[in-house]
Amino acid sequence: MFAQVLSATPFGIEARLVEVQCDVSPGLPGFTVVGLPEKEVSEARERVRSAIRNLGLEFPQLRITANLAPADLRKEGAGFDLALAVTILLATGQLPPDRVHHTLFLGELALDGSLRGVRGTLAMALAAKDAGTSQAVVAESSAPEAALVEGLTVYSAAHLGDVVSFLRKEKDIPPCPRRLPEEEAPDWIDLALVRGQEHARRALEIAAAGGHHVLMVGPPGAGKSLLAQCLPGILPPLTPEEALEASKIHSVAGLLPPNRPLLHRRPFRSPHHTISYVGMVGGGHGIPSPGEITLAHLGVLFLDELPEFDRKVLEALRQPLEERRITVVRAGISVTFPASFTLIGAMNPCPCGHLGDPLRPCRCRPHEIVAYRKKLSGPFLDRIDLFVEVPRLTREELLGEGTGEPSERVRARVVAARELQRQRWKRPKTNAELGPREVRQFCPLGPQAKDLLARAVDRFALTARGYVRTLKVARTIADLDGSETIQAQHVAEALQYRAFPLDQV
Amino acid sequence: MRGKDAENEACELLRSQGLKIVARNWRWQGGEIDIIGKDGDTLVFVEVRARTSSEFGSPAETITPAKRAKLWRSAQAFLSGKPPVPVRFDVVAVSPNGLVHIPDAFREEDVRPGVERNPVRD
Repeated sequence: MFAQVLSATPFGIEARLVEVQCDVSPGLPGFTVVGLPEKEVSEARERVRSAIRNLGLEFPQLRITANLAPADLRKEGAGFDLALAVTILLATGQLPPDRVHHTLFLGELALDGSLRGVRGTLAMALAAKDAGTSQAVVAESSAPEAALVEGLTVYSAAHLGDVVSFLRKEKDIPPCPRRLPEEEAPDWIDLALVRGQEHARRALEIAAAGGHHVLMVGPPGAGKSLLAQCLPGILPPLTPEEALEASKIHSVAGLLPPNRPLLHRRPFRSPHHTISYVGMVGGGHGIPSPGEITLAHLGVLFLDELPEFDRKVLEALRQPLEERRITVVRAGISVTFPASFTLIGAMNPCPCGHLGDPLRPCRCRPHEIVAYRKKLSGPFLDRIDLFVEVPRLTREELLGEGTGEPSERVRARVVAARELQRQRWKRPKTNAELGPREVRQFCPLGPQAKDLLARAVDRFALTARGYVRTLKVARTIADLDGSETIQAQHVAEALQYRAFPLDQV
Repeated sequence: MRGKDAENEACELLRSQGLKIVARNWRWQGGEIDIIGKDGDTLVFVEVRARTSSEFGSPAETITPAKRAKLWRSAQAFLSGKPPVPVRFDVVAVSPNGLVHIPDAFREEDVRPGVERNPVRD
């Protein structure tokens, strides 16, 4: 007696469909799971057996062989429990076969038969829908996540008993409604709260508009962290497709709250500087799981105390900073994760933090400052478009009221600038992603701008890469200004963000 | 009460439960099966464990993984060459307090835990 139903396993941030086949035959009694199961999948045998028995149904005293196809794909997670239980009940004739066609089954069983949600449900539901599956039976707690997929009818079940009576047509489960999260008060910090720091505020606006990576340098307490936390609030809101993509990543990582299945804000990740290489880029045992740079996809990655990060971790960021994705290779499996984030780094100008501070003297020796700066390699710094100094606040700024512009107004300008870029490339692409050839083509300079840039090349000994970087930033500044041609004032402003601050001190 | 007496008592109990006794003390070079019976279509291999005192745990607890493996091999030997039938392993525990019948006492995964690949075919 043979039966088969559909289930799935997470694979990177995607998912692969898995056919769960079950054969029940006479012979020495036993329950074998084949098809490259990881430990937690093999252990499903005990959960499935107890759940079926505790439901008052018969667990066959026969030889049960379950196969998870395709055989060469590693199967992870406890999500196969429900599919295994259903196939055994089908194969022993305890369930009618007519409701299981084109149906995805996902859920982890408890010993009493109650169902638990599984991570990566959104990705698995999407994969099932793409493969032409029309309905899914999933655990109650992950049903809202699966229901986000349009064109998939999702039945939510709290217990194996619900699934059994549903498949026996004794009970109807209403399809889980597709619920989009309602707007709620933003939890980012509003730029209006930031005092002073006009220069840094402007840099953030440019970074948001053009997708540029930023490095802020300043003494402790100047407001670097506060400024960084303002960045998500001035980025354009997620489009529905982007929201789904980001949610998929967070679902696989098990970070989606069950009551809010769809991310509606750009992610803001701020890993501590003790983070490991694998924690940053992704990896781990078995199928690689996404790291912080992937969790920050379409959002902001904030690295505070940048030079304190492990050098290996920072160097690993070079590829994703440029290509906006990372390929992780582990024991025969290679997975490519998207990693299109805006990097915002913060650091002190020197180990004691007071270099360039008008009030407190710097206590560092010159070689200490050199060693501190050297922790950031040239190639890493080359990938950062905007360098901005965040100085100590003056007494007037500190005691005065926060007079800054609110995030909402800044965001409106950012959205307009991004729209210009989208029209230029005919697809969502930011100025930061321009290649050198595109820069020459799409950054027309006015006559005065050309003249100014020529003088800058001589004066600041701009390298080819520095020249391209300045042009890209100038392009974004011109976009914020609504100007198709880059004018002299745009170039002049871009030049301010060109180099590591306090280098001359 | 020990050995033979315990097995006789176990046989009585199984018969009263509708089991047809097929063989007793079936031997091969690798071991012995105390009782082989038939419950409907299902072939039942029964191991009888007797204890004179429950001080050192119940008799059923004395079936070690090695003992289970031995029973498993004996059952394979008994079944070889015969057409496949449903099979069950039972244990009858005999103690001064009376008899306890444990149907479906163990299965393949209890015999060889952790062994996933190349399962021994019956």
